[in-house]
Amino acid sequence: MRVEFFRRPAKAPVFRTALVAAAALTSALGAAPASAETRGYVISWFATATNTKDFAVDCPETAKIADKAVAENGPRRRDVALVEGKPVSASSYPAAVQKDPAIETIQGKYAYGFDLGGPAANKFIDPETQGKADNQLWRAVGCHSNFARRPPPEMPYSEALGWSALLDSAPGWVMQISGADLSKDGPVTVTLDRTLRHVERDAQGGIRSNMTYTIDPVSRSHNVLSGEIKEGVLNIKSGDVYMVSDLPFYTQVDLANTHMRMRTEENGRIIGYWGGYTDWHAWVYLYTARPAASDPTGFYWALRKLADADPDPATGQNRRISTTWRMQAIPAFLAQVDGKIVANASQEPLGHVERK
Amino acid sequence: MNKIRATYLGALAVSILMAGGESYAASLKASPAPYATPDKITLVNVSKLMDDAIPQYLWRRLGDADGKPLYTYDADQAGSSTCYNECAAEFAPFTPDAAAKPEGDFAIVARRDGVRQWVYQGKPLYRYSGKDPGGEPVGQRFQLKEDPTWADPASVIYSPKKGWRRASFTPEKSMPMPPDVELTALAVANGFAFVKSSNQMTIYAAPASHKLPREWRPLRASALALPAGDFSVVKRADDGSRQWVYKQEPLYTYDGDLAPGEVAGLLADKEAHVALGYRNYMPAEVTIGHYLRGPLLTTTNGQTLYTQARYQTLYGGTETRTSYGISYNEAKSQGTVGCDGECTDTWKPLLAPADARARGFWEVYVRPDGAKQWSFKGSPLYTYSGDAQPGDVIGNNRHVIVYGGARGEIVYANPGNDPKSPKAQLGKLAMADVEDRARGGARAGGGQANDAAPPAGAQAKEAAQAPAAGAAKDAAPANGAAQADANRNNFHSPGFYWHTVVVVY
Repeated sequence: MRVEFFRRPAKAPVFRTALVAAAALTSALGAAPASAETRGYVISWFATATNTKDFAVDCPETAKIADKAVAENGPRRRDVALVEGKPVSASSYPAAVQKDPAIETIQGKYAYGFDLGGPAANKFIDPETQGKADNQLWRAVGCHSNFARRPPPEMPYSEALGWSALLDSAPGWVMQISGADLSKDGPVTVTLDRTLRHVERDAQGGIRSNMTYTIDPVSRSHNVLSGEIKEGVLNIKSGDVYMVSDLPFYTQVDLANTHMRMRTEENGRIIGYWGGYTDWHAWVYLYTARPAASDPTGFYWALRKLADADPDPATGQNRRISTTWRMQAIPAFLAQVDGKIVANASQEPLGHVERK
Repeated sequence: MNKIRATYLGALAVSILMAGGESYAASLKASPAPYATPDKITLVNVSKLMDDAIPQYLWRRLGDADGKPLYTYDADQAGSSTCYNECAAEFAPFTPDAAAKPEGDFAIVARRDGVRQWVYQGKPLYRYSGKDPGGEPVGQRFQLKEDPTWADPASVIYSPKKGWRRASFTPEKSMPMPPDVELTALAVANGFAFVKSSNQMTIYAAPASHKLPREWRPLRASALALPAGDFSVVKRADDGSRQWVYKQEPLYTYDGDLAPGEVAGLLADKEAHVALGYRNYMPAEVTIGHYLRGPLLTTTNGQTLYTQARYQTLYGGTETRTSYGISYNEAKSQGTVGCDGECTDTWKPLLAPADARARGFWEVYVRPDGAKQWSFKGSPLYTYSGDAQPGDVIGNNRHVIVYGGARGEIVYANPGNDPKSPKAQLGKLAMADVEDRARGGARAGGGQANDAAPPAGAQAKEAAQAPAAGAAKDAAPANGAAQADANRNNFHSPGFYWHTVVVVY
């Protein structure tokens, strides 16, 4: 167990600058509300929740040609983007592409997600809960080979590249779960934060359990959500989440009307889904910023058509789209900068779980 | 990120904060070492540009107050210029101000035509009257072999004419040093420091009267070692061993330095300082502070300084301390265009006084409103209004995402805002400012002599690597080659990126 101690200088001057939410920032020392028990986790896996178990049903057109395209290295679509008659970069001007790329979108009826209150006609069925799910982002991009037929633990292609680089170079994401007694069902508080350093790998290149991380005390990624553990599953049904991330992964993870469901597996590992509405322009930036091996303009146009929330008052164009992430987290000790451990690593399951 | 360096930075932050850290800033300002360059002579790191990787440092050159290249003439001998008349019309002598005085390796000579001229290490300096070559070689993807011309100041990448070469900054050439000592740039110590050749560990100096504890290892001199320049040898009183001394101050290494480039010793003892051969100029309002996440360039009241660059895809993360770099030419080509108007309500330019002068790595930009702004290594500097206390880096790692529409207008812009921070505005920005349309763009110094388009095979290879796009309808390109060129955006993605200033190297 490694603990890093930090202390702010004794007489730190405060700038005479008017700040919005400065008090919230400086008071966000990373500690969860006082509870009888708080467990700590570090996010070890995070990607768009994929589901193409029946690819031929989900993407009938693509299913017909996919092998042929790969085998022949067939012609790639070249989008023409013009501004005042002159070619411009389609990645910088996706809205100036002359013809809708009209990529195939998911036709099937299953996708991971949550009922966010979107239009009934758009609903999927969540294959895990059999409940209704809004996930228009998956509908938009799910047929592309970047995402299709990549079941966990495999990640979507571009996300896998970015996540791997992010883990070793950027501060990690951590989660605290607090409640009166986490071995029983009941209300809980989930606190998300960022650490001061990157996560630690184990000898096999995975993420190592039971490490100690110091929570960044002034973090734009500090989020507090209320939830409930019921029959061993932690559910959250409201709130907003904002997590700072970095290219070559996504620049941010932001969710409005956040829904989560998480459960513990062996050794205390948490697996779950986080859903909500996200800023699709910011989401697609991963692909416009790195066009190779993806279809940025195809994604852009599909997302723009299928976005289903937060209309722009001026244009009516929806600015957010329903989406679902799949995540995994492993136990970790979490500390404040003064060295105080605020969350303990635990291999025990969350909530009441029937033992067979 | 290098794990050793990450461990060091964590440990450094601990020791710095425990010790107060203020002594570090004081030692930077108090160093007795001379400045690396006189007023109005700048230093520019020449870098190799790579796909998906940070620019890689190659060598360092001299520049005028605007960073434009200075040249030397192979035909000149022993501080005397042979370039007159037509030659001087093409390569004008680089002249000092009336009040300028010689400093270190920089001399001032009177030419036959009465003009005073700067001379560096015996070579007269000139400016080219034409368009300077681009000056930043472009490495091809997967290129394994270094091109020797990249390190040659006389190559066509850098020189407009045979017999002329860009003036490189080579302080080690004129600095007498003992055999196991060399001079290296050490940004975190704000200067060019002596290090041990054998392991590149930092060398410190302390007053002779100051006793240092055991973790300070005397820099031993062999029995046959002879003085070199300002280096001399003393016999230690405690054990009779011989120790190197620089300018009457005994030299040491520090056990708390775990890797080359580390300066943990600065915070362990107030009297010790990094043994600098030359120090870098730094404006009075700037210092290097040490906080939770390591050394930061800050104002003297602790406000973190930031730069903004056109975004470039980098594998390895833009948040590592060593993995974010902006080439000088890239920084100059962007200048202040990324933050103007309302943008400066949140991102406040680090203003320079009216009489500010460029020196070393510091230049002075004139903003559109006429205000003067400091730049470091070509990048204009800003503070962020959301930073509340010294050490805050709330402005770090913000992507300014901008998309253009069919009329060239901006159809989407996110200035890097998040729900908890002050709302920044995009300010005066057009798509033309965002997008570096041609590969190479409007880089300082003109076009890139060596900035060829990637080989045709590279494009085909990229197409081959792209997963199948599904049943997309083919679009007939109006002008395939022009569209391909427009789409080729390997260096810049749409938008900008805010980041703290790297001072680790």
